[in-house]
Amino acid sequence: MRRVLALAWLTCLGLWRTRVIWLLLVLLLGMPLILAWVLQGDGTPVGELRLWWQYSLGWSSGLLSMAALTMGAAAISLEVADRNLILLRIKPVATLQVLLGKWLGLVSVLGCALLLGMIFLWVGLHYHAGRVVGSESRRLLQREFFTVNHSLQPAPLPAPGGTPEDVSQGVTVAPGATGSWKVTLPTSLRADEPTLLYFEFLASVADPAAEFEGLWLFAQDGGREELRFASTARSGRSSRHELPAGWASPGAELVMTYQHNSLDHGVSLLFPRAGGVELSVPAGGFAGNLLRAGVMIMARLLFLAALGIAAGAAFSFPVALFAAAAAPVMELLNRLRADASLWTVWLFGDNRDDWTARLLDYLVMSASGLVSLLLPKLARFDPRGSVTAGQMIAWPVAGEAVVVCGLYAAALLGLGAWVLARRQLGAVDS
Amino acid sequence: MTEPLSNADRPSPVAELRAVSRAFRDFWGRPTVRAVVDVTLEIRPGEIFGLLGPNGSGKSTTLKLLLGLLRPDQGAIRVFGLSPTARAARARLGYLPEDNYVYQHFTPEEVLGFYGRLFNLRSDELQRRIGQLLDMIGLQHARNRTLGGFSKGMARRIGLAQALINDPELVVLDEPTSGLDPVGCRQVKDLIRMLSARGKTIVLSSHLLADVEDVCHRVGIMHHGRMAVQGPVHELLEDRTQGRLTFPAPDAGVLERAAQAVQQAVGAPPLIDRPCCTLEQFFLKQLEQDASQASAPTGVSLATGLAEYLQPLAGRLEQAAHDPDARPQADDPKHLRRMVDAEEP
Repeated sequence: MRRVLALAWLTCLGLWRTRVIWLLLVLLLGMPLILAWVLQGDGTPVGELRLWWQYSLGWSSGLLSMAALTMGAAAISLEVADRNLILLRIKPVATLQVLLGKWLGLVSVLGCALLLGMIFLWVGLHYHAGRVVGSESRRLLQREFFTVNHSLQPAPLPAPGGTPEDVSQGVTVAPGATGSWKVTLPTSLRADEPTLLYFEFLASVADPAAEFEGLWLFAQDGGREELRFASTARSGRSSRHELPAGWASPGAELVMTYQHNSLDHGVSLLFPRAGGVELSVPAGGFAGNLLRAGVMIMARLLFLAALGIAAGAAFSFPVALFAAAAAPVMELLNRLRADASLWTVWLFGDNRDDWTARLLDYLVMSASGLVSLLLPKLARFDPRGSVTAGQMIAWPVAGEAVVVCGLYAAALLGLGAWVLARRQLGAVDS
Repeated sequence: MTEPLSNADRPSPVAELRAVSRAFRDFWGRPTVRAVVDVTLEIRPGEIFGLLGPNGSGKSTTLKLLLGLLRPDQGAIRVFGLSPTARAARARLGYLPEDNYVYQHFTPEEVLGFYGRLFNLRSDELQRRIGQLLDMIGLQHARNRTLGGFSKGMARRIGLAQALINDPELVVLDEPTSGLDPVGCRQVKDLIRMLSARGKTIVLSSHLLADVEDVCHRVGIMHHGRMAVQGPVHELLEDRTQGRLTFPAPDAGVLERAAQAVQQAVGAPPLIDRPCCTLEQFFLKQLEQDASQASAPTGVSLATGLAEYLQPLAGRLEQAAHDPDARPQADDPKHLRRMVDAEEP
């Protein structure tokens, strides 16, 4: 361990002495200032703050990710090019220890930079928020930005005498009938903030502007009715209702029922299983969510730094940087694999029997499967969208990010050590 | 490479290469250069072995094979009876590479501390060794300057210090005097001799024949990747067909009578000349004469003697007995003169 720490210390000190850290900090802390000056919001204090926050957090996360890849790729490949690694090679230190030490030093520096960046953004956020005037604007800011919501997908309940298969695609509500959902509220629910209900249904009507009237009924713990309100909504449009603060108890089981009252249209409403009914429950503060977001960004940096180091163990610096940067890009492209057939349609028209189209489909899907297997799903561990939209990031998700990215990092470092141990460094200058 | 190669009748060699060949290949795996061809070599405990040869003869490649930085295409290599890549073998090795591979942004103290920690040296022991090594290489005054500002010779000394931080049993020096001024060359050669006297085994490569002749017990001459010849220096250099008489400043008459006597004895006239000192000896003598004008050192103030931790206990006691208070300074010409005199027959 002493050897690993010695290497980590050398890496940290090297980054400090070469002023890489200075450059990183200037970019990390300078850009949010510029963004605050440049960005124009939608005119509302919440919109302006959200836009600044979204861009600043995106910049910080993106910059640190690029830094992790670049500095990771440089950490070993430049040591090979400068031949410093030759001296390390003949010391009694294992190749894995060398990579581990470099990685540890690098992620320590990145972690400190991330912490500093987060603190800076936090201070900037509160400075912005403090300048908002008007009690209504402040209330909106508190509810829509500084309150973190837990997004709940209530489970559809089959009609009396029905089976679970009846609601596998969603809940269908005939005119005059009712549809029900059940959900358990989180114990972390904050009673001092209102809950938001989002719902959306589909109806086969010719007029898209046709409005449907209904009644929402809410009951918790044993069927005691606690709340009801009427709603008017259109097909295919998301509707939002604010439910009063303090209406439900943390940890309670809630049954939600929709009564279809638009008998004149004569059509049934389908609430899709995904996105048909959603509750946005105030469940925490902004600081806790930001902390979990920081943990997730750090988890990504653990992986990206290891990716850069592993690439640097195999290739020279420019090639290593390209290879390391290509992996996240491939992962990004891989998310579009569902559209692979669209590419072939674009290339080959509707002639799906063309063997070249089938071959391309096959190749794209195979490559996509391979990428899925080899790379972690980084998008899943990207907290920017959630933290900007005020969506709760649960600790299990943050923990999963650390475990998955940590395991991938360990595998990459092991692979890098295996490759580097087989490289004949003495031949570099021959 | 599983069976020991050493002969049981002799002391085990510290390192040995048996019929080793190595070619460098291009991207497609085709051999482009046969750098080392069928080289067999044995390094014995306590000796100073010199690898000689012109540029590109395979000296550095041979050393890299010995260190495990390259794998042989054919043949077997053992260091301390182990594979050269074994960590146990590497813990007993010191290596000064051909070029100065130094961390530009670090100070000598930081670099030596880093390498020392790789050998798991205790902090107090490490600090002691760093101090002694910096004294030994004459860079104590520059211990807090970054290596990026060092001259080539100063960086070379740091390379030498890092090679000795672990008190190695086998020291491999690739062109150890490269980039050093004559004073530095002499001091490195003295250091090599002192290390050998303390039981260290040293392998060095150089194309500077005088350096190798000065310090090595045995040499091997490489050419086109092959070991052309190897053996003890005196055996290789001795010309048994001639003899030489040397006596102090004779006048012309004495010299003539001596020449006649030699001619009568061997039947041929002798060659008469006056012995010259080497340019190195002359240079050091000039430094001694200019000693009164010496000023504070700006680069290297190379000190003397071996770092204390590199000496066995007997050596330390001996040094304490002769020089209990102060170690002579490197830029002290009297000390340099003593070193030169001690070397001259």
